[in-house]
Amino acid sequence: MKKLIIICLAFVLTACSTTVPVVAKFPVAPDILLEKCPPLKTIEGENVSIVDFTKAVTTNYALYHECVIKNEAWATWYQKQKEIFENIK
Amino acid sequence: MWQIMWMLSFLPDVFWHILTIGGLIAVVAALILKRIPFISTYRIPLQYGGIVAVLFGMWMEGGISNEAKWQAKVKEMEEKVAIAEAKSQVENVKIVTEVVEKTKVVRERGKTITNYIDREVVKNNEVIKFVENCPIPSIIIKTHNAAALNQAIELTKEPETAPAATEVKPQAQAEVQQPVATATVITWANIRPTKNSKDEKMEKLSPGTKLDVLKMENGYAFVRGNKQGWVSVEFLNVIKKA
Repeated sequence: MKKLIIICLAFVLTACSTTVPVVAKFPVAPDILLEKCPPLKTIEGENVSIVDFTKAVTTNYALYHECVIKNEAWATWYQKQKEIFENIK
Repeated sequence: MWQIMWMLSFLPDVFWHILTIGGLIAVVAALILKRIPFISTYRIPLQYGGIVAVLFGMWMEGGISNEAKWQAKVKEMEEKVAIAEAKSQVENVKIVTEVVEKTKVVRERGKTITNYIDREVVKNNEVIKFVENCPIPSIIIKTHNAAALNQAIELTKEPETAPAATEVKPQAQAEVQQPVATATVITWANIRPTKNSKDEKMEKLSPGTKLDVLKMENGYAFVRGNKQGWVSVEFLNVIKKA
């Protein structure tokens, strides 16, 4: 009789075994962060003056700083999204 | 199995309440009927039927209760996810705005510096003097470009493009012997056996090199230095002899 009661209780408890099928989607990163950094400018031709050389270097420094901004933005984006995701519990 | 559960889900909850209570009543009734003669023979199907009804009813009661909790939890999670998605969007907008603004500032600063070079630097006497006398050597340009493209650079000396031996056309050599003027090379220039700029270079003349001008024709000077050949006058400061 005891065995029968245990089997019955076990059977009854099977109705309670379910999981919540709700999951957070992987967040979509902004398009601007997905853009690749442009290639650096090269200097072409002969008899290049120091002025043209300086201009090319200035352009390349600006390109580097643009890339730094994107890199920092990626780090911020990851930190923020991680924080938001971890709060869903 | 889930198909059965899906079909059973259409039955109202009250059905399962009635089934459970009815099953309990049947079990109790079977115990009472046991004491009544003549009718006691019918108690066995009633008792077993009651037990099955109670078990199945309780199983479904548990399922219904669990379903209600589960639905509440799903709703709660959906709400949390929706809030998180909204927060994520807000953060994305903040980040994009920041990137756009900062990029704009960087580009403007770069443009300002380039304009400053065009406006001020090119007019600076020291720079003018430097530009006139010292073009950037090709090895510096090559190194810069390799660094910009992150390419490997060969550290070996660049092979000479001009032929090693002096190859002056005999006709040109015989034509003029006495210099008509002297010249100083202003900026890097090439000396060639003919006036054709596509012709092969004999030598590369560095700024400041002194030359004898033996002849001048159509913007070109036939010069004598280490080698004899033609150089464009635009690269020379020519001083005619009195």
